[in-house]
Amino acid sequence: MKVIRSAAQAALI
Amino acid sequence: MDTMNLDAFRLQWKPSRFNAQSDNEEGALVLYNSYTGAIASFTGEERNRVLDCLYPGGAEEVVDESDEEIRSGLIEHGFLVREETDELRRALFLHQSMHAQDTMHLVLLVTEACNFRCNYCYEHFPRASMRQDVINGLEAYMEDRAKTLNRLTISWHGGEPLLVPHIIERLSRSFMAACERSGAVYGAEMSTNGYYLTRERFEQMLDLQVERFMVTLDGEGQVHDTRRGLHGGGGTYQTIVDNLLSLKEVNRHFEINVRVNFDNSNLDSVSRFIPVLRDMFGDDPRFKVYFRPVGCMGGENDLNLPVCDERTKDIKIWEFNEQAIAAGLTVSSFISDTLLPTGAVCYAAKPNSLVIGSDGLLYKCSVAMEQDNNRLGVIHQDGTLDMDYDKLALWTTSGEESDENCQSCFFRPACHGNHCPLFRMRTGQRPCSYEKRQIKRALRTIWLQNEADEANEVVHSN
Repeated sequence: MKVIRSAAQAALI
Repeated sequence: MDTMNLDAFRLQWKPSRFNAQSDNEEGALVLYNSYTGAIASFTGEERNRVLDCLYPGGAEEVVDESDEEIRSGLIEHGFLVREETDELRRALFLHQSMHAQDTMHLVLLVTEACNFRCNYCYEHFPRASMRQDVINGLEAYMEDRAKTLNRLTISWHGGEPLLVPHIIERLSRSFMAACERSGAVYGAEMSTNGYYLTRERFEQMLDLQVERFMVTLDGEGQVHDTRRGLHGGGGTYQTIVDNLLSLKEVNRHFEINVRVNFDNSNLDSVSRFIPVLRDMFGDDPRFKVYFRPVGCMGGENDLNLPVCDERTKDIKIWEFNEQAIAAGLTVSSFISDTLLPTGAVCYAAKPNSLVIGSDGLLYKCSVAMEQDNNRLGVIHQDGTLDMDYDKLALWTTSGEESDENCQSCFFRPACHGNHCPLFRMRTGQRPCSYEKRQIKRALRTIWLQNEADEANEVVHSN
């Protein structure tokens, strides 16, 4: 599994 | 985990209704969740195990320790949610979060004049520079408003904003000072035709915290010039290109989205233009490309525009993006940003966003400037706003609220039925974004860009 954009990162944005 | 435990697991978890997936030709699987914004890819080897975790009775029932890893990843990023989760309530709550009063986005038409006369432009240029009383009003308004803001974003817009850099300088300094005092984070972006974007002007804008730009090039040389000529005649391509190339030498952080507008008359030209763009900007990822179809948006030349049919638009956007990545260009972050939670909602539908004209008129939509329901009021010199809240309500509550298809759509957390409220008003149809319409192609583009970025990192680290 390669994370291109993580949920946590998305929440920050 | 044995078969019995697998069954127990499935009773506890279910695939999110906000998932989308794309299988690509290389055998990999890309998963996306619009509520968390997460995007992940899986190898062909992992693919069946992922699908089996998501969908009971799926491909294979081989269970080992690496499955545990996949499962926890799917849970962490929101692809699997607890069985009892009410996801529609999550979407509703997310929608309400857009009413937060501690952020603000203003689109400022610092001039409504333009030195270009593009053949597809929807603006009518009735007014020129922002009046002094409006500038005073904006400064007074922000002096007070910034006290309760955590974030302020300004979009410098027009007309051509760089016709009046002195107004941008004055307002920027005032807004930056107000945010400094209140501790709010300030940021700005600009849509400019690029004709006046010299290195000196550009660095002035960077000093004013304008860090993201959109500049349009519609093809090489003559192709661009026939579509985007000067007011009064004359080409603009070479001046813009010379300006942009000079900006590569600026050793500072910025993002320039080179927008390419296409219609039936320049499809082949755009395809031939991609290697030209690569030769100019392929070595500098701060320059990104953004392909958009020309639309009839209310300009005086609308009836003569050779706009693509919807199917051609959907095919060509992603064809151009893939061609650009293969050539070595970087595609715009607008694509992946649109896939973020609330990322596809237009500012016209956001309660904490306003467009302010050069004469102080308040709008929600920056396209339908002549439409009565889009004229919400005015800003006064003392910084007070006269605002028709019924009109504000019209623009901000005309999305998923009354559209059952939108309510049950996988993309709901990203757009809330509000990607373009104007389109819904004018046509009565759902305004689905190009990314949603071709979500598999969009995810493939994001995956290809990610693969290209990783390959470049390997090259640069060796």
